[in-house]
Amino acid sequence: MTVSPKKTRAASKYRVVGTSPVKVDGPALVTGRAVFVDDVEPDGLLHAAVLRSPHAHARIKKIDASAAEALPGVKAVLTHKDVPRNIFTTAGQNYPEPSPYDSFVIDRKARFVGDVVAAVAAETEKIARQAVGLIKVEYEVLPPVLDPRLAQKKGAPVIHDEKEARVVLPIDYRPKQNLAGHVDVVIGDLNKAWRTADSVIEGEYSTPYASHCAIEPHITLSLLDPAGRLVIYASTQVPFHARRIVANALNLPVSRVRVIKLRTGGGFGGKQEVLIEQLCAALTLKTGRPVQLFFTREEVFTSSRTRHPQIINLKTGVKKNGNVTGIDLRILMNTGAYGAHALTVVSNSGSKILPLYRCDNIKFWADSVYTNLPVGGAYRGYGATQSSFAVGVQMDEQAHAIGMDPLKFHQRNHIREGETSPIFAALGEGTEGVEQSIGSSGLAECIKRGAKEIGWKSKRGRRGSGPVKRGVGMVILMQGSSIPYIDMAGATIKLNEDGSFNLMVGATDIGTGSDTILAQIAAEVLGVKTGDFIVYSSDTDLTPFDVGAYASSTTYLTGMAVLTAAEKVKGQILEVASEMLNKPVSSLELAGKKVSPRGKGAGKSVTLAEIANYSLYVKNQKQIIASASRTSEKSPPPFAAHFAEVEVDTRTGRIKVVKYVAAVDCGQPINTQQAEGQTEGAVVNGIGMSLFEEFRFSSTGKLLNSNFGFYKIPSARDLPELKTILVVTDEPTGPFGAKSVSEISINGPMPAISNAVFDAVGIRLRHAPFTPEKVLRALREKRG
Amino acid sequence: MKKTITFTLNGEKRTVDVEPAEILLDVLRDKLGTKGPKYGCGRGDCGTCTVLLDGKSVRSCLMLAVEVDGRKVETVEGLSRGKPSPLQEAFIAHSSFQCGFCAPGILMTATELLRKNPRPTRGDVQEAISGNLCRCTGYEPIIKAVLSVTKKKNKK
Amino acid sequence: MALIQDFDYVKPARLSEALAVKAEFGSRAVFLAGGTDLINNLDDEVVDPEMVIDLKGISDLARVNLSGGRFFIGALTTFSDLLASATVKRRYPALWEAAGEVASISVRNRATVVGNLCSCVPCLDSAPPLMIYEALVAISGASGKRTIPLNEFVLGPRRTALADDEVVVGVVIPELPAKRGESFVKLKRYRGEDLAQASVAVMAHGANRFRISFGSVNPAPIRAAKIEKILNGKALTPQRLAAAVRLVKEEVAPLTDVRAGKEYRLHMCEVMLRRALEAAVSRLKGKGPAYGTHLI
Repeated sequence: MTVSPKKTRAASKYRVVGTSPVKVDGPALVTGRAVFVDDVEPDGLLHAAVLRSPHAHARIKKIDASAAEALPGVKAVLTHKDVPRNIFTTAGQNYPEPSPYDSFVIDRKARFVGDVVAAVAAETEKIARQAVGLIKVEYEVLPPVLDPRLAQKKGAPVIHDEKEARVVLPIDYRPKQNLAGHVDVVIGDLNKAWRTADSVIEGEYSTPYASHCAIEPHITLSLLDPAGRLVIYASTQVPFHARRIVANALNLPVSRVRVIKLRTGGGFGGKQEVLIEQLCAALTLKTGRPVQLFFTREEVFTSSRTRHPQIINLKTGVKKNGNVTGIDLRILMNTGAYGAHALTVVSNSGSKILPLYRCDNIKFWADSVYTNLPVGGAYRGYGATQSSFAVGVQMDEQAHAIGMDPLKFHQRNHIREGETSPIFAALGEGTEGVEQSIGSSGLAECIKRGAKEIGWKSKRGRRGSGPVKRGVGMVILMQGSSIPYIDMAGATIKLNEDGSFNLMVGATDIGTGSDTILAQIAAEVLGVKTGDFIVYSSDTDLTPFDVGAYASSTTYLTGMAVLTAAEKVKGQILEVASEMLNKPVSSLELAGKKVSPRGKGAGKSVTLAEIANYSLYVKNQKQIIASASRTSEKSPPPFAAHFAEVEVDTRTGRIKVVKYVAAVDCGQPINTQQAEGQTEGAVVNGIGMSLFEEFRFSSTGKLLNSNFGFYKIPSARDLPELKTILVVTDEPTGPFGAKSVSEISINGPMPAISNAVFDAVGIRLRHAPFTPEKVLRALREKRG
Repeated sequence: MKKTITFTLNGEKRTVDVEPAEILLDVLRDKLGTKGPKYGCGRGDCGTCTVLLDGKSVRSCLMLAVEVDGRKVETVEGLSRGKPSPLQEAFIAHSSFQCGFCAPGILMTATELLRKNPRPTRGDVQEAISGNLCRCTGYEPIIKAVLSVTKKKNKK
Repeated sequence: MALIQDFDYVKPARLSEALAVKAEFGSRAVFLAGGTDLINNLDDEVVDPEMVIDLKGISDLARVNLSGGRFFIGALTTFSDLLASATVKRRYPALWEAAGEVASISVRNRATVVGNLCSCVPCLDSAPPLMIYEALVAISGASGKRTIPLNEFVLGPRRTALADDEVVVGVVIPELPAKRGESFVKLKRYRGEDLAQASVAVMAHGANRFRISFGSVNPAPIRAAKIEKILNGKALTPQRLAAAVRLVKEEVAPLTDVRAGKEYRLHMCEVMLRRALEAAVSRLKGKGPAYGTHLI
């Protein structure tokens, strides 16, 4: 169940924005016609398979692929000896990337169980898999680092001892100490903060490894086009970064690489990574044949990317009146065997939560360390998920410590419109941040309406008398919308002779609905319907550049590029119409697929089709077309207040989420249904992380639950009653007032559920997931 | 060891040579061009490969192709003859899919449910699709779409 | 998702043909019914057969019938068949409840009860109810037929009493006390599909007679003889219930694995036994929660 946004003046002033037209790819998706990479099957296709390391840390002493190569049907075997030794980062970020260069297409060393050792291309998948089994490897097994707390100890094995490991931005990188990234910031005076506080609380919190679990596993198809260029069909969030990274890794000029994003079966950050494209492409270059490489589900778990686990030490000070005097947030983040997003995720753990509370004294200190475990990466929420949990729980602890209703505590402390935080300037993405003040905030309204929907007043503190207790909990959240002065998006719009438009964007719809939302923005400007756009995303040869689908940027940033391009096209349309109607542009208006003179009975109008025909065939011939690109100067935060109602069975330790309310301020939602969909999907993923999702390892670093039988994600049976409330605000810098919506709501369930469990049974769950075992243990400890 | 099998695929008789060790999903996709069913896990856990076998939903990743000899298989391609079925229309209207990768499986499971039980409760729908994982939507718009079709039927 | 093995495939129409092939290939042949376990084992490369014998052509094995109080479940009977059977729901409610807890509909449409028993993983869902029914396993082999009690069939993890030249043709539930209350409880990590971390089936019948079986918490499913002994013949007072619960740790020996720790499993066996006993006793009196209600 969702609650539609309250009709405000802001909502009703638009014709297309704020409505929910059918997804432009909807019909193709439900008929099985939507083309995913696995659905493309060129003639002569070879199938690839990868040999993966059984050891957490090992040097390859000898590798003998002769038996594999001799197997009939095998066309190529690649080992570290057969690929260029170019170091790069797999993180799909802007160049120069803030992640360390520590990866090779195939390396001489394996750094986690599941690392690439060799790759095979063969006539069939079966032969490729058989061949993998025939490759003989002699490993020198090295002692592994399996505990992030031990990574920086003196004498710890050095995971990145290769001489090439480096950074391309001036960031704190110390591979000899297994330190993949470090950031620290001090604002104000922490000693004063603790001195002036009435309540000082310190606690340790942790979040585990988790998998994105996009239902489509990672997949790539590469081939050589007739001109000998490398064409990569990718399931990716970052086609342009993929082009650059693959070209660099394989010693090709960018002009020889084309990346085409087809439908992408979910990403959530997991496909903001260039993981398999370079390997697949290397096989195509070796064989000259089209090659398909996909991850099995097991490989997705072991060898793609994950949510970085964090150990968080948090100390806060609060006065009796509720004022927050100080926050000291210290994070040890495990980036695994490679430093993908190692610095930026942990930076966001600070920058996407600390500004939320008005506070003058803040310390943030974070280390991101290498271990011989699976590799972290971008994952919806991007660091904010982990820190929002710690901070959200400790603020609830503080409210209880001073005897204040958490609702009132949060109402009192949250940042407001027009206010700023020193954190914005201090913490960026590998560089310093950008100063900004809050241009729009509906957080107060989110708290108010969310509390009403959950029944905060009547339910809080009423546990019930039986063995099954009830409780409610809340949390407030923020995220960002794009990375200021770093992210860039382009869009091109072209008018066709029947009055339809092509909208070409580099932005990547990975299920997020951006193709639809961007068409809505253009339709609003051009006086047409969403369905009048033929949307094409994305192809490095044909669409303008876009950084891709990440950092909650597409609606906000690409939206502005589309809006600007649409306005330019509108200008061209009016000019042609002016010529046709022999009236000044200023007297004309574009609406309902035609241009007419303003005012009733002002004379005849011309349709878009007539305008297109005139400009293409009749006079002063030209293509009506415009491109625009945009960067952002701010990253306006969306805000949210989440509320959970739970039941805790004190005999079994099982937590049941009965109801969940997400009240979200995403500015003006462009597409209401999609904004609700993003929120619900994020909440359910967050509930999974709260209750059961986590990686479990053997004592040698092998992942033990690498399939959906053992790593559970929520199913349709596991839903609480879900309510989404969209609180409409008008972000002055966003397209039609829009901010982002996709990430923020994954940050809510862990703290909201933990706080609700406290309300129900008086225990503090500080280590996710909240398994029944942990709940029972905490209940036992509480009883003493 | 090649076996020749003949079966009905979306109403059409199809004959194909397969090795006994070939999985039904691979044969449907690679040999018969039926790209609707997808690979998501290969172990029967995620449900995106779901097809109907003699009207019952099954995991095509957990079957040998030889097992369908003489039987009737339906995939998502068989649901729409020229235009989307009412169930598919409902999924479009409710924006029931974001990335859509789970769609071919969920639609088949929902089709089986509605054929068996034209008036399912919300709980019936949840139970029916509980073996089909979706990471994008949180399932709500999927459940709503299935229930909307049953409501329409009830009015008739 | 290609399998890397090569094997041949036959689909005999008669049991005798299937047995002849099995006798010829011995351990190099495997039987195929629903395949939900076999295909995963092939994918995991834990089996590498030369021959797969598909049993689905043998119509005798698809038989389910009730005669003279004995219920025969043929080897091709799926969990969906059990769930759809009015006889099972009415006469064997614990088995019916267990069938509904197996994976999801499209797996239940293929997976067979007999296949579940033959897989003989410790967490098989069908075993605890069949143990309280004192079910028999009907086996045919090159050297004839035999019928053995289920508890003699399941020996340990992935180990059964089946010889290389034999096949299970069905499970027989013998005549049971007419008036019974039953219950089945499966511990999963959450409501969605999951393998059992622990399971318990209880039958209450006659004047305070009990049968209890635990699954997933021993190498093979067991009957809880000690608990049954202290309960049988006496009214289920709160004290006696508590005594029964105290005995659980003597009956089960759960392990710690990736899904749950042994202490938690033991604790939950106690909670589940309590709830299962209470439900079975109430149901015997015609009260209690409806069959299919989740007790945890």
